[in-house]
Amino acid sequence: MPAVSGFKPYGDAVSDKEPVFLFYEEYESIRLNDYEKHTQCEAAEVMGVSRPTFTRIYIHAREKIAKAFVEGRQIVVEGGKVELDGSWFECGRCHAIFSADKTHPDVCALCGSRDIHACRLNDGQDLKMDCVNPCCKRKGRKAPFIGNNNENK
Amino acid sequence: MKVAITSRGNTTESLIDERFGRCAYFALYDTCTREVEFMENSAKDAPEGAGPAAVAIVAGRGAEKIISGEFGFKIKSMLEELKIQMVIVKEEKSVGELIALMQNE
Repeated sequence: MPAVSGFKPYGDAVSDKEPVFLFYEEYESIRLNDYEKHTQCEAAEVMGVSRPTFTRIYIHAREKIAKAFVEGRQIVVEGGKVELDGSWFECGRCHAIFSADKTHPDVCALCGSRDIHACRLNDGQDLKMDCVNPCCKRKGRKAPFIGNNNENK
Repeated sequence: MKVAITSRGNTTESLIDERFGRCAYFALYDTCTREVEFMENSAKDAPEGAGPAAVAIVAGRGAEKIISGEFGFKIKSMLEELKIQMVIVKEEKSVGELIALMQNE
């Protein structure tokens, strides 16, 4: 689960407007793509969605965060279409993968760290595979930025 | 709480055994007494059904958590029924290192 429930901005431009609600799958798309530095194809595989669906989720996440930044809104991480596959979690500290002993585990079953997140068991599949999606054909490197880089503007 | 760790040998320097059903030994660690004992896995040479037999061994010793390199899919549902938590460790850690991680909780 995300380490934080959200973010509160500070400063003169901060508004009283409604917070931006970042869904769990949107948070996950940022975590996998920008933080773990997977390609979008790998990240889509982890989340169990097609690559175009992953890109849609990711774009939404970025737009929501940009809106929060520019308009001085709070970010709240909650809700969305969340599906935990057999309830497995991974520890960011010791990298152990463990089954859930209760609905919402809050610490790692091995080292006790709070840095845990839901994950899918790949059952032997190596995440660092060559991308087979015709979108990028790159070998273990980050996918090109969304949009057509080859277009003459 | 009793934790079972699949082990390649019978000392705390032994590395974790990546298999569950056919591991060489089980290390049984008690989180309350902080003691560890080793037992040979009598299921490892079974021609078939080693996984379920190994589950019976660790469940019989009262383990509530098992640390191994992988769990076969048949075992997963058995352990889920028994409410025994599974912990998968892919790195080559020793039994002693894993116990230390649990103690630092």
